[in-house]
Amino acid sequence: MSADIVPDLSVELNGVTLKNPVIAASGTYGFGEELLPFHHPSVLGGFSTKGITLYPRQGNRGIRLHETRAGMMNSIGLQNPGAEVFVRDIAPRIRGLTGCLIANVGGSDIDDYVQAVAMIAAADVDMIELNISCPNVKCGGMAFGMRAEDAASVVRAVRPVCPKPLMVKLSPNAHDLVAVALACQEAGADSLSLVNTFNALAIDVHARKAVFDNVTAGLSGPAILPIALRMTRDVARAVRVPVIGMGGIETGEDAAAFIMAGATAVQVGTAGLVRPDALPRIVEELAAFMAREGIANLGQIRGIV
Amino acid sequence: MTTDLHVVIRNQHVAPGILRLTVDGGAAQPVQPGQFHMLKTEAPEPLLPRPLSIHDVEGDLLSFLYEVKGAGTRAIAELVPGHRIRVTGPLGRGFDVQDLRGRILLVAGGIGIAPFRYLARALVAAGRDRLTLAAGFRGLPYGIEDFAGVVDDIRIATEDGSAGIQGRVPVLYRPQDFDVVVACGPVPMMRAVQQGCREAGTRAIVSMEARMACGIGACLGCTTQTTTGMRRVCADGPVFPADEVIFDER
Ligand SMILES: Cc1cc2nc3c(=O)[nH]c(=O)nc-3n(C[C@H](O)[C@H](O)[C@H](O)COP(=O)(O)OP(=O)(O)OC[C@H]3O[C@@H](n4cnc5c(N)ncnc54)[C@H](O)[C@@H]3O)c2cc1C
Ligand SMILES: Cc1cc2nc3c(=O)[nH]c(=O)nc-3n(C[C@H](O)[C@H](O)[C@H](O)COP(=O)(O)O)c2cc1C
Ligand code: FES
Repeated sequence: MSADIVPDLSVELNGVTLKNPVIAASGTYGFGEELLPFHHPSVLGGFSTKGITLYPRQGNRGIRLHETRAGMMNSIGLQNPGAEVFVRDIAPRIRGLTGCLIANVGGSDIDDYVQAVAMIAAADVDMIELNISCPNVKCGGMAFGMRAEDAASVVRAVRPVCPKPLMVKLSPNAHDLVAVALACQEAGADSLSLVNTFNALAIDVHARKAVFDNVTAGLSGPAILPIALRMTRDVARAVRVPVIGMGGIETGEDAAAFIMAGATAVQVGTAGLVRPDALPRIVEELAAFMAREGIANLGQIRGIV
Repeated sequence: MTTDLHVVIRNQHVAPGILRLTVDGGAAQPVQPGQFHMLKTEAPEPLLPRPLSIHDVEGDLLSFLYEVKGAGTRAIAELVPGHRIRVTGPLGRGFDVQDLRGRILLVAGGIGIAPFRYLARALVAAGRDRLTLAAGFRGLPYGIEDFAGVVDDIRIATEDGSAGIQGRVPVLYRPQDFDVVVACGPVPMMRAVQQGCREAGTRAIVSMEARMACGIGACLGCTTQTTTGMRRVCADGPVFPADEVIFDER
């Protein structure tokens, strides 16, 4: 065994150096502070905040979570304190927690996106992740990520007000995912992250009605990994910009699979909800995997499949 | 707050469908009555951990009292001594023992009795000697023996009349006879406590339930409506002043 290999896990993403490719996924890591009793966010490559919208949102009422086999569904409805509070109170407080602070931004129409991105990108954050795929917002949100022309219109609109690297988060529910990815790249996206949750349905057969008030909700977790992996590869082969892959990652080897499928970095969501030390463990497991396999850096395996 | 595998010391039925799980506390940390832990067996399914209240702490041992409801609690019920289980906690904001004074009533509905043993012991240790427990059950009561020698005034109601007074928990007390009422149980019961205490002008405190994923305040999956907006049961609660909670009308 090449036990003497000390693998280099660092990755370069739009001019920002991440110490490793493991990023906490939006909506599953709060604003980073919630995890502090368990690990310091700086052990990760970075984290993406809960989705922030121009104005505060209360989120959905009723049941917000439902467990499925090997996964979970959520219908949080983008509960967040709004861009102003984020910029004034939260961003300065959490800035020091990570070397790569990604502000995830949601919206329900183009003007909201533009105003929110303009405010948030002016704060001390490293990147913007534009969520064009949240399936929970009734008007708008879904539509942008579904069709290439809608996705391009929102990316084109926010591009001029975003001096920071702009990551666009794609919906796996898109009619033609590769077409949406290419359209976002053309419209000025600096990187693409995928996948957001799959639009899904759970029925309470005893009550004879949908589990969620909104009827459908977003599926995440290990159940979606093979589909997310295939989609990551499809997109990575089609675009020039870096791709950040996610969907069901639980182990270091899962992360390695996404890199082999062409991802520059990965995000992890649900696994971190299952146990709060999951993300640091994934980093350690990935390092151990690389050491065992004699992989000196991630460039050696990126996109090899 | 830690997340670790703990060794199961005991896991026994105390009544049909109700078990007490005791785990090796490992690094004993201070826990507040009313706080909870997230528990998950080492099996991959079910995926998410389940919240259980702290039932008691004795030396290095931590115990939980739980009702088997579905896959998660069934998986926990199958553990035998020597098995290991992931325990994350202690989590949430529990009861403020210093703040509970005078004539204190603990109102439990079914398995809502779980956090009250440790609370009652803490109250007694803090010198509170006017404690009453009012516990309601569908059928045969359980967990009551835990209060022998701790609470003198124990009142029981059962819906089927198998023990105590037949009926629901409100038949057991008048809120105006107490300085503070602490409730844990199903939503209809807590709504009744909130309303009864509001009318009587008695302060009330409730421990809320919600489906959870992370248990640490990161996912916003467990929120409940309050007078100050949507709040996380896991991190802002589970204990709330009753007047702040807006119970769903449905
Ligand atoms: C802070 C807190 C402390 C708790 N303490 C205890 C305790 O000490 N002892 C104890 O026995 N239980 C306690 N509970 C409840 C316990 O967590 C649930 O009973 C358990 O998670 C059910 O999991 P399961 O997999 O067995 O059942 P599941 O299969 O998840 O659920 C069984 C049924 O109950 C429904 N359900 C699940 N969770 C909820 C919920 N929160 N509200 C309404 N319906 C629900 C499901 O839809 C399903 O119909 C506590 C809950 C919270 C939030
Ligand atoms: C509870 C929860 C909340 C989420 N909130 C957001 C959000 O606010 N913005 C967003 O872009 N994605 C959100 N997501 C999607 C995740 O970031 C991620 O894309 C998805 O869960 C797939 O990854 P996973 O299988 O590792 O969880 C959320 C996911 C979950 C489970
Ligand atoms: S369970 Fe995640 S915020 Fe409460």
